Amino acid sequence: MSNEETPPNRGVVVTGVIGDDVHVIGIRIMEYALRHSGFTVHSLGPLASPKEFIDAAIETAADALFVSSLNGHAELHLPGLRGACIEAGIGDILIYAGGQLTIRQPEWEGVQRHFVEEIRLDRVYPPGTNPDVPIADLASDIAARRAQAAGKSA
Amino acid sequence: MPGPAAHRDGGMAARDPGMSSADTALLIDVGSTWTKGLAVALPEGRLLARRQHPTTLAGRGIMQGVEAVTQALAAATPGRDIVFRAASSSAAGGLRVAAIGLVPDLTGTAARQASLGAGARVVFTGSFVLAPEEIAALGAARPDIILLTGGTDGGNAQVLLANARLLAAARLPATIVLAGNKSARAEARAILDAAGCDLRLADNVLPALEALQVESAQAAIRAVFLERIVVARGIEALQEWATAGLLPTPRAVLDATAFLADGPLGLGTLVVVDIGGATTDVHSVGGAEPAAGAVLRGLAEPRVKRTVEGDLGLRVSATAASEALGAEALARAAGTSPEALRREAEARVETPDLLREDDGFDRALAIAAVAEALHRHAGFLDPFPLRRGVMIQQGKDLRNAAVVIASGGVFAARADAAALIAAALDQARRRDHLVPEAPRLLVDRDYVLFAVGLLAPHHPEAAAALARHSLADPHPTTGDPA
Repeated sequence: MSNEETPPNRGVVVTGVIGDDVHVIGIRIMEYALRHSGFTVHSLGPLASPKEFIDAAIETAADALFVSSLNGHAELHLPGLRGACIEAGIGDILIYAGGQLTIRQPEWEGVQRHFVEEIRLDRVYPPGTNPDVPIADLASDIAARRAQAAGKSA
Repeated sequence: MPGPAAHRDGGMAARDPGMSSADTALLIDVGSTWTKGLAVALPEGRLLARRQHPTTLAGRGIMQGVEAVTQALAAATPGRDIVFRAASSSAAGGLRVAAIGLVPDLTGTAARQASLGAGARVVFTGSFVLAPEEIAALGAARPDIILLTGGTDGGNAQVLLANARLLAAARLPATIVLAGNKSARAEARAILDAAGCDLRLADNVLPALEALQVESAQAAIRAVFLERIVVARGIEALQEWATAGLLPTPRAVLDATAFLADGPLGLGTLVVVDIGGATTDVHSVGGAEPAAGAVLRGLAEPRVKRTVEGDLGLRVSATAASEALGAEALARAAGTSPEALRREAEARVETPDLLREDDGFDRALAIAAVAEALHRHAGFLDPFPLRRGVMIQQGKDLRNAAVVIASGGVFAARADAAALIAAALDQARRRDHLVPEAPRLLVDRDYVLFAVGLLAPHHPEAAAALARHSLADPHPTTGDPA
């Protein structure tokens, strides 16, 4: 029986490269930075399907999904992910995406608006983002969620 | 390769004057129909005699058959000292386990895999918070053990606790093995303890997504089997007889499979297919790594894996198997009509001990059932849409398996066993799963696999010798199996 103490946990993140994409370097760097910052990471690796993200999030009680895509097919695979999460009972989960999310390269503001407002992700990041940025955002998003939950139960 | 027929009738009773020892191991398997026993010379692992007796359930119970076999073996090996007795049993319904997880493809699969690998019959599979009708179905399935899992360590606790409360309220007469999220273990334990449930704790079967860990849960299942189920089944006397160990039969065969792959014989990636009256079991060792150019998806495969097909069997499952395999195709293969086939299948369900000379139906059914069971056990490769050249692999790649061993009465009894397993492999290969491509075929003619599994931990050299000399190679030109 393993009874080691659980280390102080800032949050649980499921990471993966979604759809037909095998570019793992970006998400590997992100995973390294997340672990280094005290987050628990469950990595799905390349070619992960939306179903795998959701299954993993349920089983691990994840706070967030970190979805990576470099080939632009995120545009194809991410719509419907929020709805599927709601259906699976984890509608409130934080969903972040990063990388080259579209095949065309429209100006970033438009991409961001599309993925946040229409596809209902929480945050998206363009290529070249320093991992510290999403990590700081994640920490404050999780803190806000936990404060909200504590307020509700109080 | 000595002909196995030479000692199949137990005719090798005479003492070998060159032997310094007359130590003998008795190994008995109590099946649902037959109690089969082997006498094996120690330390050299020579098969001395083989005897069987119908399994006795009424009256004095299974020990009547066990004693009859023991006496017959002793009579066939006069002057030898019995120093080792071990047994396996699948009598009285086997070891019935209900496997409960959270997500079906994650802890649901992990719980099922842990149960099958422990040699259990999985009589119920559940996931998420169980519905009232599922609790009712769980009770009706009469499990001996409920393997309760859910959540990775530090992951979801809510569902495990909800199911613990439901099980506490249901008060089923089963032992609960709690092997879920460690962070919820204490609370789940308190809930079940308070309800007076018989409870064992084990490590999480899926502590992290990439880490299937079935050993601790299997050890707990085995302990419950020996301490409780053996008593409930009235087979304590068998436990007393089997001073060197008692296992559920499928576990003994799985242990033998792992031993043949990794032990002194080192056969490498290996598949054992065992077809019986009710089920077809497939055991494999190896093949859990991704094929070249493929990305592995889904839950990690256990290196030593067992699957059971409850709808594929030659007797009590004959009707179900005919349906699962397609009555028309089966009738064509058996050279008969679908109507005649249905009658033949029904006859087998009603009369499980039915035996016919030159049975075309048995042959066709066995070939199709083994092919289907191999197909279901093996993984597959899927080309990824939109991306040429990338393949996704789910499950095991057994294409490079070095050896396939066929076990079960139909193989032991038929002279054309080799052709039969070859035909089944051919049929399985014509479909798209990762089944063995060019394995050496061996036939368990003397029904020794269970005995190899029982002997292996105590007398590995004897177990290896028993396997080497008893597993018949249908293509003797390829030489000794070891």
